[in-house]
Amino acid sequence: MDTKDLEQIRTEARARELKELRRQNRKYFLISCLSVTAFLLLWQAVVSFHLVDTRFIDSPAKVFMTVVDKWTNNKPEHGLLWQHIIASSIVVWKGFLLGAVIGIPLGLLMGWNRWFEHTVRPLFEIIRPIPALAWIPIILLFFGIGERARSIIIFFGAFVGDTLNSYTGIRSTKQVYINVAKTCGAKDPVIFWRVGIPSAMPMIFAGLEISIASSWGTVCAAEMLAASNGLGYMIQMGRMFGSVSLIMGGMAVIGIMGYLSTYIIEIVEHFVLRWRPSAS
Amino acid sequence: MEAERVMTVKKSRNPLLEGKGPLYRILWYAAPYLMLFAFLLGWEWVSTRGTVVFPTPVSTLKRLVTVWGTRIAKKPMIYHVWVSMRRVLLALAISVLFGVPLGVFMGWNRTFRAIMKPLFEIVNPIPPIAWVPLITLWFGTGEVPRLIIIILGVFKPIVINSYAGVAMVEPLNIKVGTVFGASGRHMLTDVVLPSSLDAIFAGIRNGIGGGWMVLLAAEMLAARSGLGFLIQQGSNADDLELSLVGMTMIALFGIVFAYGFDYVERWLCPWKKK
Repeated sequence: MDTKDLEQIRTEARARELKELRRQNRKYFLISCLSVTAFLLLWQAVVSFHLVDTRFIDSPAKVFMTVVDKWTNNKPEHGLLWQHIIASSIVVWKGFLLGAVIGIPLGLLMGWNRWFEHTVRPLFEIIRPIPALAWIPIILLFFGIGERARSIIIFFGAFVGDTLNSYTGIRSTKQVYINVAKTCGAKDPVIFWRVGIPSAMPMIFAGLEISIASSWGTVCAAEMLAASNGLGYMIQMGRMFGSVSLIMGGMAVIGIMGYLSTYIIEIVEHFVLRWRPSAS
Repeated sequence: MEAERVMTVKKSRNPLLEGKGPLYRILWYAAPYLMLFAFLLGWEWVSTRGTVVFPTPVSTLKRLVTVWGTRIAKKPMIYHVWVSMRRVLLALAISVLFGVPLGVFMGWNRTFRAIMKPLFEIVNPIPPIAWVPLITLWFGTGEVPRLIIIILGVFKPIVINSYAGVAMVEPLNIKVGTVFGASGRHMLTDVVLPSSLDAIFAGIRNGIGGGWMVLLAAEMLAARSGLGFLIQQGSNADDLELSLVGMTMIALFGIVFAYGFDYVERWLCPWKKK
């Protein structure tokens, strides 16, 4: 019958569309791969043909070898790569988690309770524009230059961002949901816990991802300014001893660590938010 | 009579204060000030009773006033403030000029996106501050390398947000544009760009915030002028008051920038409802 032919035509058209889409995706994927390869080749060529003084640049191969070598070689600054990685990671995660533990509840309360917001907001708005690094002299005075001091610097950076995102997240809770909860007879704290917080979760996690990225940046700066181990310190030492590949290798490692951290947060998010039909 | 009664119903400006007594109202308006006062008291306690020497709020305030006549590193205070502002504004201008078109083009043209996005994704996780040693190795410690570092910090969010703004335009809007006969360039300027202005401005705002951080880092690490340098100098010279003054100035400027930018945004996008 006519309708059956129509169904057939529709499915065939859909199959063709999908094939075309897949072909296009493959084409763009290929372009992307070519682009990265071209970049690496260009980099290698610049070094091999001595277009730039080797004081300023090292080939990608050399950078990679330096990173691998650094795992066991403790020149020039008496530290091994994994020691630096662990030192930096501990500082980052400690500060980040402290910032999350304090910032998220603060933001949630500020967004939920008008009295709380009204009271705390001005103080928060004063602290907010001060970048984390600006706290360094004060922290240096009270806590010295140990690992704990650096964690606190990271805390200041992460805390502000987390609070803001939690605040925005819980403020965007749909009034409909709150009304439904009220209709079911829920009291305010229960609505906060059962409706407000889950509503705010996507925004909170988005904020956490940004937070961890900026924490890595802050730890880098903090280590360059006042530390004796860690990836930022390693990069700074590379600069001091004129080893470009150490600098570039360190940068690459930090990049990888940042990427891994974001990935970890994403995994946690998928686990926590598995009740959502559309995974954010 | 009926109409008059309706017209004289008072509209309470704050629903939380509706029908509450005078004591409640006084407490409401005083609450934030009480909180700030408690904070200042805590500060005062730390600086007088604490184990380390730390400036009191009063002495910080006094220094905030007197510092304008003094010279630090042979330059007057106003020079440091001006230099910091200039760096941020310049970096912002360059980043917006190059970053927005780049991001928009990345979102608009799939081939360009396929070429540029992976390169971007590789550079993305590296914090701008991590570039400092490399840039100082390549360009020394002058003003240009500092500017480059700050641009690196401001550039990223601008490009990412511009790209996201263009790539995530409502398909409905594009369909409407097609129905009205827009194509190619017209589609871009009349449909896509206005609806992505929101995201672009969010990107610029993030860029300013990030740029502030990187400015501070660059000035603390490799500069002899600017607010970040003041903070570092205060730390080096055991003159913590100077650091606090620097922090206050930075905070003030952060607020000024944020409000200024809100104003610019509202001027350029009058259709946006807050």
